[in-house]
Amino acid sequence: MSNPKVIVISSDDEKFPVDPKVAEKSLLMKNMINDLNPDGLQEDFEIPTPNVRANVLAKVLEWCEHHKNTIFPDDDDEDAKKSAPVEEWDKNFLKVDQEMLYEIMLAANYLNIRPLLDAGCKMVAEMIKGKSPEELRRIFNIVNDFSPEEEAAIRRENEWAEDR
Amino acid sequence: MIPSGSRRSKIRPPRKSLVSSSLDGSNSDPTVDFEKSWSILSSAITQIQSKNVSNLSYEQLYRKAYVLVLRKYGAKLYDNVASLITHHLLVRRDHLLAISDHEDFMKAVILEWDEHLQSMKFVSDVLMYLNRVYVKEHKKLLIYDLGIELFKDNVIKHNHDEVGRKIVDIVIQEITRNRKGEVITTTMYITKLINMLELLVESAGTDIQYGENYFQTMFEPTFLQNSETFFYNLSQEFVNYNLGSRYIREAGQFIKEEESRINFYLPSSTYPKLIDLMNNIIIKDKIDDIISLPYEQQGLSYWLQPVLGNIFDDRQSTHHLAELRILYELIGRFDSEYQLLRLRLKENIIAQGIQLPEFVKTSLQNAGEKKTATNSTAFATKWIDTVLRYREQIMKLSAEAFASNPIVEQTITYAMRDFINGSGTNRKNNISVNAPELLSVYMDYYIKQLGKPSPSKDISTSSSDSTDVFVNRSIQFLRYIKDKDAFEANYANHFAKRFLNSKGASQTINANNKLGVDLEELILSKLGEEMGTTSLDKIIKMNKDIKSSKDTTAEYKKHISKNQKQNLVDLELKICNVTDWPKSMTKDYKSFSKSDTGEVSFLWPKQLRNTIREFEEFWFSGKKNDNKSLYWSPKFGSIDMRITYPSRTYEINMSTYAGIIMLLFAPQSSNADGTMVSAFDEQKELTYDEIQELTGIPEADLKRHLQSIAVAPRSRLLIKKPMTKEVNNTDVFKLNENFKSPSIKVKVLTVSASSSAAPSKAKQKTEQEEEAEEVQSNIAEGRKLEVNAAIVRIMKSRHTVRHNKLIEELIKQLANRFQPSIILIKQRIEDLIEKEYLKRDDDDKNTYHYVA
Repeated sequence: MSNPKVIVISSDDEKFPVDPKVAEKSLLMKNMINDLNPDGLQEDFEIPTPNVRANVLAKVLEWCEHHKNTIFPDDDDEDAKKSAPVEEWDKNFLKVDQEMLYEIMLAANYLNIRPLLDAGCKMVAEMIKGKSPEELRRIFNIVNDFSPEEEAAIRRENEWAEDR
Repeated sequence: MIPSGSRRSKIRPPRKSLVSSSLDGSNSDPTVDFEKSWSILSSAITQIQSKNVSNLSYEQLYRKAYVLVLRKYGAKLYDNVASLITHHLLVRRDHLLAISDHEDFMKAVILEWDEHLQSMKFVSDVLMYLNRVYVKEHKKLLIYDLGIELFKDNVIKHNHDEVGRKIVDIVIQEITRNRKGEVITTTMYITKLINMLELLVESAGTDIQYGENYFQTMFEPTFLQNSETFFYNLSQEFVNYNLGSRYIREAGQFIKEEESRINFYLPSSTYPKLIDLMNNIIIKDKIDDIISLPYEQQGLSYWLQPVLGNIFDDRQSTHHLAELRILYELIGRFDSEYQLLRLRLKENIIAQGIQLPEFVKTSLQNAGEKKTATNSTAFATKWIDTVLRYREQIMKLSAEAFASNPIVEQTITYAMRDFINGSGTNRKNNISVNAPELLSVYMDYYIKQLGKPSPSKDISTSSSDSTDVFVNRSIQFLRYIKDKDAFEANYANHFAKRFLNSKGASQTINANNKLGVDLEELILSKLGEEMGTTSLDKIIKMNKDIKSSKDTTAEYKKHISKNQKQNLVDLELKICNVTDWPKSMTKDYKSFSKSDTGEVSFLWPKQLRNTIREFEEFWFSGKKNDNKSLYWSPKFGSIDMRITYPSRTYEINMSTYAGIIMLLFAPQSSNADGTMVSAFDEQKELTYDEIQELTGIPEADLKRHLQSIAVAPRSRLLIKKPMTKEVNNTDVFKLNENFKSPSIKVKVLTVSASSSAAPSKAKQKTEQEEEAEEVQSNIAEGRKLEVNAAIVRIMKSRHTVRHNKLIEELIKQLANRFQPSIILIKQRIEDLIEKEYLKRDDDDKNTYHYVA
């Protein structure tokens, strides 16, 4: 075959053939490809990902495809990662419902796609920023397990930090 | 902002449980989950270690590890992996120890290492999640690095470094075999093993670059120790050859090989340590002994021998350049200043140099030369020539063996200076040379040679070339002379003699040199450049006299022709100021004129008296000569006389004395018709005593000049009865009718003082000895004055000076001229204190003050 492809298989056995370059955005897949094909890819190579569903996998691979030529800053460079804002395209890309967002993040964690994971985390951080506790409980579906006295005590302690 | 101390609210996962969906559905007992997963993983790892990966699912293994980490089993997983690998390695270790053959062992170790690294990489990749999350968080070693450490601890270091030591010993053995010249097949293994040892970091968790590694802690010290012993034994072996050349060659060879060996095997950090060791033991410790080996055992003196040999015998072409080059390189390895080489080289050059006078003397004798005294012309020219040739040879050697290194060449110059100026005199060899004198003799000889009109047709280029060569060589040699003031005194002496004794017109090289530059002038200007004109003071004054003599002669000639004086002899005047010319020549200047008592011992012949009177009139007519007295000196100069012999009329040039003697035989009487009777018809005969009375010429000179014109075969103007070589008081002289000469122009050479067998040698000092004495005393006087002047100069600028400092300064200032002795300096200081130029400090004897 002229251009061997990497075929990523979702938990529901759906096959997604991609260019090796795209797949290698995931360090896990990259190592797998290289370790099991030390002389280079001769033919199509299948990678099963049983803990990623098809629709999530599709999104992840879409992201990889879009960024297949992007060069990301060094993995160890903490500062760059913290300060860099989420790219416009990534922002739009991640405008999905919460569940999908979390699944994408878990998949990115599993597959070891650092930039995607970071982008996801930043999105969530945006969601948290500037929200009141009630809003946060609503968004994240958090059960309030404080008794009214405890809650009042906490509010009093933290009054100084509020900028009203 | 997490409120301090209070309960934190947990962010519970959103509705759907995502994590559990990634497991195989079951949320059952964690312990069972771990063991199950672990058994799969551990068997997988074992498979990997056996290079049996085909049946494994990478993804599955990865997922298992992922889950375990999520379930907080990271630590347990990590530790289990560590012990699994440890067990595996211990088994491999036993396997290794079973191998006895060295080469097989080395090969096996490397194989184990390579395979281990490979499997560790795989394991590490599979456990990537563990690495990323657990390891980073708990600051443990990455799996791959863990693998390396486990290898180090369980294979190499286990059981008191059992394997480790074996590796070190075997590697060192192989290297030793290689050093001894054996061909080994394990070169690549050595390199690889050393690389492996370098990767085994000792302190856990640190960077390989900064931490110590096994190579450094175990291998290097043992290796260096072993090498030191080996080098020592090797150098001893070389020394026992007792042959310098062999030591040099073999040591050089070994060092070259060792360097390439080390370069190949060892890390760059060890390289300098080993090289230093090698340099110190093989070269530094031994090389002085080698250099100083005597000639038979081929030390430095043997290698330098051709330099000496090649001066006299061009056929001897065996040079020991190879050995010298190696020596230079070896010493350069531990001393960039080559101090030892320079020291020994200097010793050897001086030793060779002081043999040169002996060689020169022998070679002169072999050539049949009779005059081989150390201040004879023949000796002087040959010695200076030889020294300059020696210099050529040694410089060539320096270029080829020492890369013309400037510090080495400087040492050579110092050494040559030492032996030329006689400070390295060998007591056994009693030929010492007076370099300043010899240079002056050398120059004197060549100046006279070059001044003679050249007989060859092609005059212009060849003689100006040889002039340049001569001048350059003289200046070159001058630079080696320490006591420049001694040279100046000698040169002044020769210079005066050349002028005063010259016959005929002043010797310029006009005919030969198109530019018409006076050779003497040329040399004086070159000497001035070299030594400074103040040191040539005397000679410059004499030169002035020479010039003004020429001017006076010209003026006189004009005066004569203007006033149309007749019957006067043509005069070429040499007027010398008595104070400036050497006393040995001028000391008796008054003895030829009327003494205070009116007595005259010397008589000018009547034919010359007119001329003398005429010139004196002319001389004193000039106002500038009012307070000067003129004394004629027949000792010097020459007369050109036309004598008609029966065979032919000749124009003869002879010394003044000889001329005066000849004039005695001029025809006295005239014929009846007024013409002069031929002198031959007169048949005049005079005895020695009569001649003595009639002329008043001093005895020694008279005898000498009579020999010139009556004994010397080509210039026998007179016949002497009896025809013996010596002139006795009873001899009778008359004109030689049969005198013949092939050319019209004849030059009578004055017999030299030493060869005229003077019977009364004992008491009277010869002229030569007198001159020599005068030169010496001139030098001594000159030095006194110069030291005085220097002391005053120094004191004037510093006002107060300590004794030692004064001496230091003096020696520095006078270095260009000569080396003052401490005694001389002390004398001069005392002298100046007496003359109140300085005084001693009242409290401190060692301090002087300037007295304005």
